[in-house]
Amino acid sequence: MKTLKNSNNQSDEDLVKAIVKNNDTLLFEILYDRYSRLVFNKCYGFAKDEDEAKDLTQDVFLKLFVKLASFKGTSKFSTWLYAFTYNHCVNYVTRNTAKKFEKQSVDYADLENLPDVEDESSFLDMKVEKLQLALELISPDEKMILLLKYQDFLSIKDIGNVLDIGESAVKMRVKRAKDKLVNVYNENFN
Amino acid sequence: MENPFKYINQPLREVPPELKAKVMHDIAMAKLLMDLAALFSYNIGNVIDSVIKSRNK
Repeated sequence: MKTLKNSNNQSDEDLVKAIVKNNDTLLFEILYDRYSRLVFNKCYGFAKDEDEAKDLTQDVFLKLFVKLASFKGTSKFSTWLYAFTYNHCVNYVTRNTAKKFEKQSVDYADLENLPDVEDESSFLDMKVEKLQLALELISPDEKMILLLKYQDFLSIKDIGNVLDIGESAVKMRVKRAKDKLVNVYNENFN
Repeated sequence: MENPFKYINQPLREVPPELKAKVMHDIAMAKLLMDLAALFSYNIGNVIDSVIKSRNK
């Protein structure tokens, strides 16, 4: 019992190391208690209803247990978990669409003048409910990167790390997603 | 004006309590399978390690 109590105060990163060492299910329970609310709510953002969100959450935690060893500690655990959860949800939502194979490369002409993605002014006057509807109208990939940046406040570097792409690619994707969102919002709600 | 992204999907919903049992059951099953797989396969890293160690002696 004493060891479990100690584990309760451990940092996420130490806890993960301890879990990976012996595939410890008891310690994983602590991790579940810490993050279930967050994961469930992230999943809810991509699911149609509560049942689907429950299924997604269940899948995310199972996959998390199996793949926990691939967390290398290059970013904070919570950051990694955000991306892990979003990735699973996006894959789930796009599982039946041909869009999966859409070209995602960055046009080199764009790299010359990388946009300032820290600027939030373009959506400051958006209404929350309408913004939420507009997010449903853009692709799940775009929704993911916008949420990572503007809701979870990950830095460009962190997003690049967890999605395994370069910083300039992150900036381009954020910019494109942002432009699309503003367009969709203006077309539908203004 | 504040960033409206902060208020998306707020307030946070509570996780259904029955979900924990389901998840822990899944995890227990996964652990069983992973342990069985480890039991019936060679851990090449360990084999090489132990061979090198015993050679040095």
